Amino acid sequence: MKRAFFYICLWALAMQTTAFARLSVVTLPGRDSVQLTIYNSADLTLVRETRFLTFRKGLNKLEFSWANTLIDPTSVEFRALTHADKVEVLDVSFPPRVTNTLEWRINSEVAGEVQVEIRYFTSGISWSADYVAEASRDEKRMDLAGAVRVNNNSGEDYDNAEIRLVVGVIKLVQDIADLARHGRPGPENMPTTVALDEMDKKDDAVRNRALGAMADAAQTAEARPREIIKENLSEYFLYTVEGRDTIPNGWSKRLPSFQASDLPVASYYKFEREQWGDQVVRFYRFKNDKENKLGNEPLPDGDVKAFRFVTADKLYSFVGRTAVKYIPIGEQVEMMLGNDQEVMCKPTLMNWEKTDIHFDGNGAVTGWTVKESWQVEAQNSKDIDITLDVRRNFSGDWSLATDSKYEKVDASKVKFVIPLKSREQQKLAYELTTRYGTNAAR
Amino acid sequence: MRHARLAAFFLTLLLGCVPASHETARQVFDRTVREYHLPSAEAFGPQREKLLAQSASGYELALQLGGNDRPLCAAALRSLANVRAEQGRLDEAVKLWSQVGRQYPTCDWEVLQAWKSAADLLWDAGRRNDAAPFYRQIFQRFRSVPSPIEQSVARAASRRV
Repeated sequence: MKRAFFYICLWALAMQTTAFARLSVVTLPGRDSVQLTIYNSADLTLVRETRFLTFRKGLNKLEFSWANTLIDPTSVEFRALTHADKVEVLDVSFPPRVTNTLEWRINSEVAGEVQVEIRYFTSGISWSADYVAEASRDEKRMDLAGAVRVNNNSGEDYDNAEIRLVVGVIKLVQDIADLARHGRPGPENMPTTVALDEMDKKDDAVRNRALGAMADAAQTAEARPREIIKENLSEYFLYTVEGRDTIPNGWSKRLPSFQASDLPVASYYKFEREQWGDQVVRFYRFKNDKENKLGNEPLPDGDVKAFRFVTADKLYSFVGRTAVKYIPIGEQVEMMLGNDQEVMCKPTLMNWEKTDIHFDGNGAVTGWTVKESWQVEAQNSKDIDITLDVRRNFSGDWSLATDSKYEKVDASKVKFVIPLKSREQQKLAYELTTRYGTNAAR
Repeated sequence: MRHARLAAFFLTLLLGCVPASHETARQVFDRTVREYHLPSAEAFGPQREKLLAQSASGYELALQLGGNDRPLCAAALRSLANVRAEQGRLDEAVKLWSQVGRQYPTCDWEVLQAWKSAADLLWDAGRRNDAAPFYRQIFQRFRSVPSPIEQSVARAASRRV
């Protein structure tokens, strides 16, 4: 359970003056429970561990070592959860016989078992989210499974831990991260503590406010789980991974976080030469809300792997992979899954003509108009019906003439939305008129 | 003394005689903690003496190589003082702990630990007049710091000023 140099021992002392005398080992307690709240944005994790300790009446000693770990020793805090009014920390000392160890001297008015909490921050623990999307054959429904991967390089093993992830950024936590980066000497992965030690008093105050805010946020969220909490213009969410798991030091562990089945999804295809060249790109779109069987929590940013069932007996094919950004509740998600070679779009310039040329008194050209005739050929070779969104970009003083329905996206872009049945080919044509020089009205 | 020289020699060999740098100093420090100082707490007799001597050599080497890596040097100097205390060289230990505060005043956490170790050891040795200035410094400097550990230390120090 514990690494060699991270341990807690409890001793009773007969007399206060016999410092460091190990008169009797009362107990060597293991952790009763561990809770990790991981703040990715600042490389900080709040660790709350509870233990049942057997105290003797009078003075007790409790030793805590952070050697070979990335624990921030200045953040270590001890408190009794039971008999809180009868158990008091009198002093903290740093015994020279061991390094990176502190010793609480605790006065207890009770003899017997007391539940205590030890709370501290460590760096070196991070998490990332990933998703697997499985679309139905017609790409109208989708199963979505989320997982989180927790990486522990903190130097400490955490057995049977409850894992809570902070999604989003708490402003004060960002402050502390910025300060740490600003003041951090030496290698990049040096413990935050080192950097924090170098800060001036003003920075220390911010740091301590941040640590306090993080701890308070964890407490508040505990009382109101799975709820959006807004603070200091930042939005964050505390997500608790169900169950408990062991995350040894040096390990990376993937844990399931949620599963949503049969949620509605819109698949569509986009063509825009200026963005993706001559390729057609596939998108899946869905909304993170209750109507769409999601919306219980914001979805953290992460990688998505998408598959589609291609046969009735659920053989499926890989569609693509992408990364999604943090998705708040109620927000629409658009996953770009790469090009699809079964859908083709080919714009061709059929004719070009320069007309309406004007000259000044010296015979120099002052204005002219260009007319271009374009044909766009779209083909769906897939076994399902699709919608293709073709976007064309124009510049200058332009106008468009076409029999096809189109929509103006902005001052220089239009889109044609073409529904294509399976194996269908369609052609659309438009004439683009662009006015230059004195012919241009804008 | 022979052990100390041996330890320095082996550490230099183990590190492949790479040029002095902060990274090397950090490696020396971490290795000293892991391979000598921590095991010394579990050892007895000559083995313990040997490990403590090797620890002292390691920390001295880390200090030499540390240059302007102040947090590292402060930690190495405090750890060296801890070793001296364990070797029974109390006055030398106190001198080194004092140096932590003078040479690396911005390294709050190391300064706190050094002063507290010095104060407690002097107090427990019955030298309460010598301990009092350390407790006073702790109280004055750390009483208003919001960290729970530092507050506990400052509060306890105030009772011994």
